[in-house]
Amino acid sequence: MSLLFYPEAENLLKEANIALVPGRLVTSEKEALEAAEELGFPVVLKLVSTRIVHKNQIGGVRLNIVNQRELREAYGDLSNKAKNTCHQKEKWGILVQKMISEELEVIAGAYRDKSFGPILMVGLGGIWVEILKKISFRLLPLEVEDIKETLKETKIDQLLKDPYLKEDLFHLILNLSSLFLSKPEIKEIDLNPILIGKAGCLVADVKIFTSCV
Amino acid sequence: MIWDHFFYPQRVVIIGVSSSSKKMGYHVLKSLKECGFKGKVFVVNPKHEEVLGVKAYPSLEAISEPIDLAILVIPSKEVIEVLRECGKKRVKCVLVISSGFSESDLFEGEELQRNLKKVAEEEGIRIIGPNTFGFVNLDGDLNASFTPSFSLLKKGGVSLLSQSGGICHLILAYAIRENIGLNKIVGLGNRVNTDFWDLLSYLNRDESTKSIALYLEGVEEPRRLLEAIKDTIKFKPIVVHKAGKSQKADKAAKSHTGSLAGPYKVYQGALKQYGAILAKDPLELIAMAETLSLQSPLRGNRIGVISLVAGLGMVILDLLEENGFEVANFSELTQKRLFELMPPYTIRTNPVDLGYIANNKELCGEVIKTVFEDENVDGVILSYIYSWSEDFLELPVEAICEAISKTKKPSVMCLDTPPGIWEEERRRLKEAGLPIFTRPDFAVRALLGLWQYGRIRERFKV
Repeated sequence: MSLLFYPEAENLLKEANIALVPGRLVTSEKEALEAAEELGFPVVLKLVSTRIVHKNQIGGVRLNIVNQRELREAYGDLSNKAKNTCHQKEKWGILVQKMISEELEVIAGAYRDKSFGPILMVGLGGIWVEILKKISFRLLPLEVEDIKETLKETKIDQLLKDPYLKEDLFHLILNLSSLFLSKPEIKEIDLNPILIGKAGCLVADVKIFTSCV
Repeated sequence: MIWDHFFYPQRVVIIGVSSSSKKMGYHVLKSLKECGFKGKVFVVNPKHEEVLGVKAYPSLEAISEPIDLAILVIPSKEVIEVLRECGKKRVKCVLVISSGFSESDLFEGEELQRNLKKVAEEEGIRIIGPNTFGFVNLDGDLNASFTPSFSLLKKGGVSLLSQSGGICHLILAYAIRENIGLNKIVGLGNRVNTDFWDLLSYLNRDESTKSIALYLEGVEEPRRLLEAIKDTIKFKPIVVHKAGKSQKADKAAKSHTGSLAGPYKVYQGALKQYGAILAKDPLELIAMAETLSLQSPLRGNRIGVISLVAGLGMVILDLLEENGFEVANFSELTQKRLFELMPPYTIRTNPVDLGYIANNKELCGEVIKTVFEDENVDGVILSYIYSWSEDFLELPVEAICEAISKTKKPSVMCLDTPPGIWEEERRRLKEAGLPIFTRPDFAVRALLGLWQYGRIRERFKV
């Protein structure tokens, strides 16, 4: 299994009508500054590559960058990290994302199990994943009713008061399911986290694993 | 149909019968002799003339009559050869109780099982097992197991398919104690060529089976099981207890969302998705299944609670809330009537406390009927306590039966008594279709099963 590079993963989600947190992938400090101006501070910087699965564990994420000085500093740190840790042939870049304030973090994903076949997973995100373990599974394909059930089981339904946001999340999960079923080359897809707030339901991080290299 | 020959055979042969009570084969014959089986029983044993008063044949071939079902209680190494003989004799149904196949640490276990499957295919034989206690059909007075006590069970509408024989024995004792009626019980063993889905496709049309309980550990083809469940719930409800909750997810793969939890959670979601009702443990499994075999599904979730003592009423309220039920608000008419019937020192709203009128059987009966008849009440939980002051207290059996038959509302009872007390009353209530449980949580969970089945039927449009 190989991890898709961010721009390809982003494209797949966009094609599937799944919205991401606004962001630009950059490879120079100049580009980073332009992207931040365009998106508006505060921003988040993330080191992305085709090998780094756990950005947080290697210190590859900088949150709440409020001005150009902080941005230069963070960019310098992350690009050094990239030069030190990434292989020569590995694709890497730095993702400048708008910093979004959210009411709720949710995770959703899909994978292929050797006995069950395609499976959808929905759960409460953030620190709650580990503590509450509110995660629900359904087999794919599924019916509208099943998605509603997963939202009930995980208590997302109760935590999310706004009916429009509920509807948004519901469609996001439905689109994720169709995307996964329509592309058998995708072995696993993780949307973690999905930030839910005033701006709607936006995917802040995506990992897509495919069968081919 | 092949399964009719398993469950309703006319001629059964046991191969490997022993006259020593220390051996399995002895108990298999004992089970068959003591279960009231109306067909013919043959035994094959070349070393004896007779076993337990039954004439022994030197070989299967020596029996001139055709055989519907052969039960094998012989060492695993000899099973293949005997299976060939069964093929020659045109026996289509074979129960292999013997163990020592893929479940064992024996070096040749895996290979023996592969061979067993292959030979069964070649001979066109269906096998239940190997490595099982056997199966029981109370509807056909057949106990094809090494445990004669299965015949002590009351005949009822629940059929149980289990991946563990031990769990069947656990349920056996519980069901006898709680007077729960069972129909067919199958220990699937190693599932060499009979799996859950094969038997589900039979049980869904079996008229004497009203509900199905599955004890599930895990199967190689879960989608086949799920499809069979979906097909079956059109006809009757299925309750599942899936074991293996504590199986720790692989920590190394934690951040893979898919591996955050083990397959338990996948099973749980998938079972719900395909219309099964989930039970938390094997006893709750049988309690829920029994209730579903006796009662119609709940149309709404508003429950009326009638308790002889206030305390148990409170406990039941807590359990109702925990399980997503609503405590019914009585209609004005009901409320007025309850105020007329009952004195002001007791709780006359929901839950209704019968404490102060307990010694007046007729009055208690009137209260019960009033609650049953309320249009705001979808289902009823009754709870009674045994009073030790001799004749002080009687169960208003007639009123309860009348309320059930008149309103047809789903209802369960929570009742515990010392052994030998109110046996006749219990029997009559059960006959009227009222499930009775010792534990209040089982009574509530049983109602939950009725509520969930109602919703499953709506969802799958049956």
